[in-house]
Amino acid sequence: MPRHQPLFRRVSRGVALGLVGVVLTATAVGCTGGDDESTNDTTPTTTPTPPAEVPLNVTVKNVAGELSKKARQRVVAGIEDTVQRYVDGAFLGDYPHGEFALARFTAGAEKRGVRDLDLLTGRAFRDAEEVTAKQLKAQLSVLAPEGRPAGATARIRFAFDVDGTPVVVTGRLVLTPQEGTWRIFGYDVSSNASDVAAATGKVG
Amino acid sequence: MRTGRNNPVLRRLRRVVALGSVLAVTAVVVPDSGVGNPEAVLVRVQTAEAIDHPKDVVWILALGSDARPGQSVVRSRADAIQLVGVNLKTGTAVVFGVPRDSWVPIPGHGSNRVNAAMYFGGPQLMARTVGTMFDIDVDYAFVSGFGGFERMVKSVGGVVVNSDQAFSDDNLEGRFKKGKNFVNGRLAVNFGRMRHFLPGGDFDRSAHQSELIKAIARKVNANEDRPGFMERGLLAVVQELHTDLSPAELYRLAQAATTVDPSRIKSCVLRGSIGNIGGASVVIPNLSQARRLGDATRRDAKLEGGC
Repeated sequence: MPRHQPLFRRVSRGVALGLVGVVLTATAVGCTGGDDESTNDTTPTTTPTPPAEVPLNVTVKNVAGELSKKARQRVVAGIEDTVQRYVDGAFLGDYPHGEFALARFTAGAEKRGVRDLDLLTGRAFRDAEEVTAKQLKAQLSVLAPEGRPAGATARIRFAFDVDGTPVVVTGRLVLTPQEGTWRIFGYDVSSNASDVAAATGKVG
Repeated sequence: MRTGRNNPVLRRLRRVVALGSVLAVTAVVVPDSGVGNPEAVLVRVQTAEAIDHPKDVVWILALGSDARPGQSVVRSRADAIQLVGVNLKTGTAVVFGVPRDSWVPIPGHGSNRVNAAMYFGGPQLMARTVGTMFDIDVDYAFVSGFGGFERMVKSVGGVVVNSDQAFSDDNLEGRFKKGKNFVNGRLAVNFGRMRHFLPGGDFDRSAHQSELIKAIARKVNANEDRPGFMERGLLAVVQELHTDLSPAELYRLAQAATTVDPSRIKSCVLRGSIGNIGGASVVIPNLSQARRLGDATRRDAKLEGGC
């Protein structure tokens, strides 16, 4: 599945509903007898603009030890891939979100994470019509004794627009490389998702 | 989810305040877009934490080697012997100090001072010997020399130890007051080495070594959120500590150990009496106390009541 296909699906659903709303509004306006035909000509944006896609921004803040430029690029690419998959699966993909969102977690972390799905994923706002990423940021501190990466902390800040309501997820993901793939073995994450969902009535 | 953090309420509150501030601003600037969109809301923030480690309770034997320059750190006598139990699930921990002159059976070597086990058979034999005393299976044995410990403490920027008494030693640098003392590098080493003028001798010294472990735990707990802090500290550990663990395994263990709440670490020094074996002054350890402590903490690294 292409990385952002789920996002587009969500956005598309939002756009479609927006169009329905516009049509209904226009119909209603028409029914109230608006007779200035030029009005339609001056409202060219009947189709809402899809929100711009926000890329995941992964940067290295600290390296304890040594990393060559190439090794550093590999670390960034590897962790970016893991975090991107997590974000897509947890917040931007098909709803409702489940354990599959934690596919890049280690087995133990996944087991623990299942209990925290409301914080680790967008499950809390599963009835939202549109979820848009506004900021996806991960700053890395890497442990690399003798030039080999052994672990990393990713300080994250994910901000989403959920039907116009901001949802922010911040904290840390800790990762180690396992057989060529960076896996998340721990997390320390704060999120207002559950309470936003409750306050906005988005919980299904 | 972690439940046993140091001041979890404060930590959470800090996050709530921080994010609350962001949302409060948002609440002001987000325009009312109408069409079923509720007003921006300012809500409580929830936190989830977990670190995956294969075991819930881990037993670590921390050894300070008295190797002098040119000597093997893992084939010298152990000057500091601390058995540490950590419950990675609940955040409790125990530290048992073993006086180095404790006269105990050493598998395959008759009876001798416990610290001789490392000379005879390295960290593995030390782990078997101490583990047998407490009837606890030791998972990891870590050994550092004086210089290595000095550099590890430096890597975290020094620690604050709570001393139960004022003391110093004519042969070692440092003068410690009763109460809080900031120690870094060599002073941290000497805090755990001095014994000649301590009224409790080896027992007091062992208690000071336990206090050093607790001080490091406090330091880590207070700074683990700082970008790069854990990685810098771990680099020093990887470079200075003798262990069979790979750096990645050490990284996972160290991250898991941050679940420990320093205020929930209990420490005991194994008691005993002074004896004389073959003309040498030794400690006859109270092995029934060791067994009782082992029985009480083996499964959960939690010590109810006293030592």
